[in-house]
This record gives sequence, structure tokens and C-alpha cells, in this order.
Amino acid sequence: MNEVLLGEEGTPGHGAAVAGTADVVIRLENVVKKFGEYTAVESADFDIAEGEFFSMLGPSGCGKTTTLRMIAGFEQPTAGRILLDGVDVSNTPPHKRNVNTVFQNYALFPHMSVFDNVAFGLRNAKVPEAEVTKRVTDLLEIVRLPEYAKRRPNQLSGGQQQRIALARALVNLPKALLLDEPLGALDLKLRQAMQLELKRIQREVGITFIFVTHDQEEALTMSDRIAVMTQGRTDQIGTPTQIYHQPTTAFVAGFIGTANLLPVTVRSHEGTTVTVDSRSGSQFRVPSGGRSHQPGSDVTLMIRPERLVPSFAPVDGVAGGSIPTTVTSLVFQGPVVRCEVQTDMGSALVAHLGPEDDPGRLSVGSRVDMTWAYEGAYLVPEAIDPEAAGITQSN
Amino acid sequence: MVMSEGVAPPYLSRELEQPGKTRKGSTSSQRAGSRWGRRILTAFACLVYLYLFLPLINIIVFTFNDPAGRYNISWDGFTINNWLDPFKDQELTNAFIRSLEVAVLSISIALIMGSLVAIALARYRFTGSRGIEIFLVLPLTTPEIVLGASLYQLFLGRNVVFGFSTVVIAHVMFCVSFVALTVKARVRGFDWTLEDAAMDLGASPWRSFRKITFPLILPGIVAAALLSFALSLDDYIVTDFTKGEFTTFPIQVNNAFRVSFPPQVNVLATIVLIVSVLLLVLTSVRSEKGATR
Repeated sequence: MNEVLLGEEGTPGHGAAVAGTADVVIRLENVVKKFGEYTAVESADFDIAEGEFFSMLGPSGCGKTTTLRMIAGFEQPTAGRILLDGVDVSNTPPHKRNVNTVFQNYALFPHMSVFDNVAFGLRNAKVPEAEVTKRVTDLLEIVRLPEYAKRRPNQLSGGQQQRIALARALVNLPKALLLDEPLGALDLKLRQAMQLELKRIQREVGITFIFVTHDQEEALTMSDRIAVMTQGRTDQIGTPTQIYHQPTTAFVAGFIGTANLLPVTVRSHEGTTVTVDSRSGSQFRVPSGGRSHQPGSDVTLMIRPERLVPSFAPVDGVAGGSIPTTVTSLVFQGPVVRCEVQTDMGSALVAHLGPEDDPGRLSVGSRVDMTWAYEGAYLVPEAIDPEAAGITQSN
Repeated sequence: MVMSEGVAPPYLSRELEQPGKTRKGSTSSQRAGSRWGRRILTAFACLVYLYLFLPLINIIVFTFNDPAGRYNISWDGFTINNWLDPFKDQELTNAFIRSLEVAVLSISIALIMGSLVAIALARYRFTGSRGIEIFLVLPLTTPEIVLGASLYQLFLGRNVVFGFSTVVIAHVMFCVSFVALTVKARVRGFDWTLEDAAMDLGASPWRSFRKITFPLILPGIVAAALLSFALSLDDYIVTDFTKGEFTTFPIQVNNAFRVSFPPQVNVLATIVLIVSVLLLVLTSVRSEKGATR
């Protein structure tokens, strides 16, 4: 079915390098969007490759939806260019661009049957009716709702409407499919099921997906690459692994998962190891992360909660550092115990302790040295306000 | 003293069937009081309905009258001849046809203009849009006598020939407001992302209007058309000021009544009544279907 429908099986890309090796479908060149005095997008400058699942992730107001609407053609960039398959489409109206959108509220046509909704794009393109029937039937098969063709959209559940919106947007085989927070209206269970479903459909049709979301977990689950955006800027573009383990800004570190951030100053950089001074005067040895760090510069030490362990527990690998703390809270969460501690400098830190860390030996108020393996710490090449130090998380 | 279920009007039966309200518990005087209250309420409601519908019933009944003289006002015998020949009175028939012509033309113009105004007001905020909204209500609140007199003055001062066209202009004027307000109520709930979606799927702006926006606001336009039709067909005051030698159905009926009272007036009136009730039922059934489908 795919061969007939799509020509060839798409191969979703892997890793950040994908844009360099595969064909570029969409290129944003220094795209700026202003609404009056307000700058919605400061500078969007990246490539999206053929067959890639690309997410734009950020809090509301970060410019991700505006960027998507510019790619769709609903907004025109104030400056910069948008290239679709190498052609400048910056000022091409939406109905003349070969990209399709899945809207946040689905925007299904309420007066048309499911079949007519999905067929709408094909009929606009004056595809012969026999082929329309075939392709709509194929698409309804792919989204697993073939028996709903005659229904009206309001007779479907939220999840089903979502699939129909997806089928309707895919039927024209666009160069890229744009998805604007399409899972936002669904409840948690359904949302998780649809995440896997979206990924399956994307693999099946091999079309580039550009996905806008504020949910970092959603982005991590589905994406080949993620652009983390804030206040109109693109902070980092990378694979889920890269943005989780090697964030380039403190914002990314805190927005993706939970992070313990501590302000430190670079003392020396030798080989692949950087020695830093903490505010309390301790010294830690941290991997350089492939960057060169100037002695004397202020940077941020990031330790994920799963890397922080009490000193009595075995450290996995070479020891990286240790901080004396006081336990402030212990919450049992099933697989882990969430342990919050306070450093003597007043920063709050959080550790996720597994059974091997023997959390039963801790109680609120007890003194404990928190340690981490050398590999478990990471230097974010950006200074943070000491006030903002400690636990950072998006929700 | 217990009220039997069969006697109770349907709107009371729900209360009678409530299991919590045991009849044993209440005293007979309380029951008598509430029972009389209900009876008076029922009687009063019937009177109100009678008041509302008596003239209509009278009109319909007298279509079957066989009047002895020229005035169809007292019952002289049953006949269906009036229904067999509703267009017997040539003058009246001509006036009726002219009224239909005026209505169809002025409604067509008012529908296009009014709908566009409604869409513009609902979709865009622009300088003066608030002012336009206020001006739209004016023709509805202004007494017809003022509207008619001012149009008369305007046309007379410009040496405009009174007749069909001046009547149409006047009718378009008050219908536009009704259309714009009725359609706006429908358009306000319209989800404009549907138009985005249509264009996103390759439909030109015109095609997305034709395929998506128009069918979805059509019920509002139909309602506006029905309302304007009724307004245009029975308008007397404004028409009288702008008609010149031209006559419409209401004018002709009024003129005819001075010398005769033909039963065909009742027949034509009943036809208009039946048609408008049918249209009303049809649209409400259609919109209900649309809602449940």
C-alpha cells in the first residue's frame, strides 16, 4: 500500500547530523517575525531534513507556533527567507504551498463526512474521483479508522478526530506535515497512545513531521531532533539525547527534565577535564564536553537527579565530586525515592534514589554528603544567577 | 379530592408523579388551593393563546365563507369556491405579484450586502467597526413613520420618479439591517481556523468561502431571508411614502376595503401564512438534523 501511495518507504533520520547528510526539505534563513513592536521570532535559522521528525519545543510565547504558521504560510516573515525544496516561499499563500497542517483544535469541517473531509485536499487538486476514493480509503486505513468514512466529525471521539485531521493533512502527500500541539486536547492516556501512533504513522508514510509542543516529554519521545525555543530565540537544536545530556544553556537544562544547577568558576582546563571552584570553595573535576573553557569564566554545573547519590551508596565510576547537605524531604514515588536536600550555601538539590542507593538510611534532617560520578556532571557554558541555582524544572 | 392523572394538564404531571410528594401528608385545603391556582393559570394561558390566534383563526375560517354582499364580515354559508379561484380579483392578484417581485429583488440585494457587512464585522476589527454596528441597529429602532417621511423628502427633493425602484430601495434599506444582525449572530460562532484549514489543503480563498464558510453560515442567511421576506411583504408605512402610483399587496388590501371586502384577501393571506409556517418548520427541522447528525 505504501509503495502505491507514497512511492518509497521513508527513512526517518537519526541524530543532529541528519540535516547535513539527507536532503533538506525546509530551510529557515534568519527568519524574523514582528507584530508591531513585539518580536515574536527573533531569529529562526535551521534546516529540516527529508523524513525527519522535527520538534519545536518551548513554553508558550516562545515563538514556536508563529514559526510554524510562517512555514504554513499563514504569516509572512518580517525578515529572512523560508525555502521549501530550495524554492523561496516566504510570501507564497498557504494554498500554493505543498505543506499541510494538523490544527490544535483539528478544524475538521463539521458539515462534511469524514470521507469528504479527507478528500477535500485531493478534490482541490482536481484529482480524478476514482483515485480520490482509493487514496482516502488508504489513508483511513493508515490511521486505522476505515469504518468511519460516512460519519460526521462530531460523532467521533477526540482521539478519532485527531486521526482524521492527520489523514486529511497527509492525503496530498505534502513535503512536510506541520502539527500545532495536536495532542494538547487529549487526556494523558490517550496522549501517550497517540504519541506512539504518530511516530508509527510518520515511519509508515515517510513524510517530514514538524511538531510544535510545550511538553518536553512528548518531544523527547517522538522527535529525531528538537529545537528548544524561548522568547523568540532558538536556544539549542539537537537530538533528544544531546539536549538532555549536553544542554547549551541553563534554560534548556532546566526545561528538559529536572536539573540541579550550581554556579561555578573555571579554575583550569587540561585535556578533557575542567577543574571548577564552587561558591563554597570546593573543587570539582568535570568533563569538558568537547568545549574549551577559559580559566576565570563563570559557568554552570549541571547534575541530573538520577546522577546524585548519597556518599554511603556505591558510585558508578570515578568519583566527580561531593557536597555536604541536609535532607529536607523524602517522597516515595514507586521506582525512585525523590530526595530533596539543601547545601550549606542554601541551594536546594534533588536526587532520585533507586533501591541500590539505600534511601532507607536517610531521614528528614539527617546530614549526608551527596556525590556524583565524574561522567555524571556536565558544564553548561553559561553563567546563572546564584539566586536561580538549585533545582530547575519546567513543570 | 384527589386529582386524577387524566385530568391534569401535561405540564403538571411531572410534579404529580414525584414519589417524594406524598398526597397523604398534605391537608385538603392546601390541595384545593393549589388545584384552583393551577386551573386559573391554565385558563389564563388558554386566554392568552386565544388572544394571539383568534385573528388568524378568523382569517382562515372566513376563507370558506360565501358572503352575501361585498363585505366578507358575517358568516353567510360554507363554500370552497374562494379556494378554487384565489386569483379572481385581478387588482388584488396584480398587487400580490408586485409585492412578491419587490420582496424577491430587495431581499436578494439586502442578503448580499447584509451578509458581507456581517462577515466583515465578525471577522475584522477596524476603525469605525463599532460605529457601523450602532448604525446597523438604527433602522430597526427608528419609527417607520420617520424612515418613510425622510425617504419621501429625499426622493422628492431629487426629482426621483416614485414607483417600483423607490419601493425596492426603501425595502433594501430596512432589510439590510435585519440581515446583517441575523447573519452576524451566526457568523460570530464561526471557527475561522476552518478557512485556514481549507486554504492549507489547497483551496483558493474563493473556493474555501464557497465550500466551507458559506455552507456553514447558510442557516443564518436563510433565517435572515425569511425574516426579511415577512418584513418586505407586509410593509405598509414606508411603502406608502415611497410608492407613488405603484401599489403593493398591503396597500391594495387597504384600498379595496373602502369599497369591498373580497374573501380572496383571506385566501391570499392564508396562503402566505401557510407558506411561512412551512418554511419555519422546514428550517427548524433542517437545523435540528444538522445538530444531531
